[in-house]
Amino acid sequence: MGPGRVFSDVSMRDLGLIRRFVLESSITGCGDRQIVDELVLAVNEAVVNILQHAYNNEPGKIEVIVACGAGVIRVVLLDDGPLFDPTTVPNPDITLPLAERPFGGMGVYFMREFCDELRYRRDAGGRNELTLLKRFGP
Amino acid sequence: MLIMSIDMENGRVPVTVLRLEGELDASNYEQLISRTEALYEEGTRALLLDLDKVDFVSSSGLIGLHSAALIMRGETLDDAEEGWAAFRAVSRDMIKSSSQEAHFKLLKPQPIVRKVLDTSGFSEFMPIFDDEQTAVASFD
Repeated sequence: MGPGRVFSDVSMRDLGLIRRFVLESSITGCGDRQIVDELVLAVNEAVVNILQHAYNNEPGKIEVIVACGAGVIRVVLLDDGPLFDPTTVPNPDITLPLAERPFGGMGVYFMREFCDELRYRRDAGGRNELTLLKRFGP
Repeated sequence: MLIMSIDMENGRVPVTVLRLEGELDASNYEQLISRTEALYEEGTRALLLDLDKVDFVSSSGLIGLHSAALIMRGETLDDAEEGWAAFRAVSRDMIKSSSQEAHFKLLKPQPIVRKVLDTSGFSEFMPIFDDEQTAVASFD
């Protein structure tokens, strides 16, 4: 995947910008608006998690890479915060009362529900790298 | 961005229709909470939230919806962050009562918003309507 778009000093006010970037980068290759909308939702939740947990609600830099083709949309989010792996946040047991779920668990739950794969690693430069993958049909 | 406007309708009781336009997310859900608090203070006791022009609702946006529902029940929220506690209190509400909200209802959510409501379980206790006339008439 090539370089992405770097969003600097990202705060909650910039969520719409990032959502529109992902939408516009995906919709031409994947004509299914519902699929793209679901992926955009998952990416939004991931960005909020980065802002809250990797950047402690302070503005920070996020690089967003979008690749769409061969029935797959792949979004990679890179941030410079301390290690934060959202894939380790346990899924809420939806049969349990919501009051017993960990704080923030609903955001990661949405990430999992609205994309097909979620992968985390620390990249060679020590950045958090989160990949969200959504498949679509012909 | 979130734009809000108000219409008053008359069913069996006066109904305030709060029409939202845009996207409801972490940057603006508190605006919905503040507006609902103001409406309640002004005397609104039946609130229909028109989501027809809302393209996006995130998990943070759901905090706004649930906080608004609590406000319409007459509960106060000291702080918008209590919305998180309110969100987690959803389940307590569900255990106490299987009935849906009587004073706060939703109108015409778009497919992606409907999916968010279904996935989160909110559609179980927030009445959802596709027709405004029917929605307005449902309040008593």
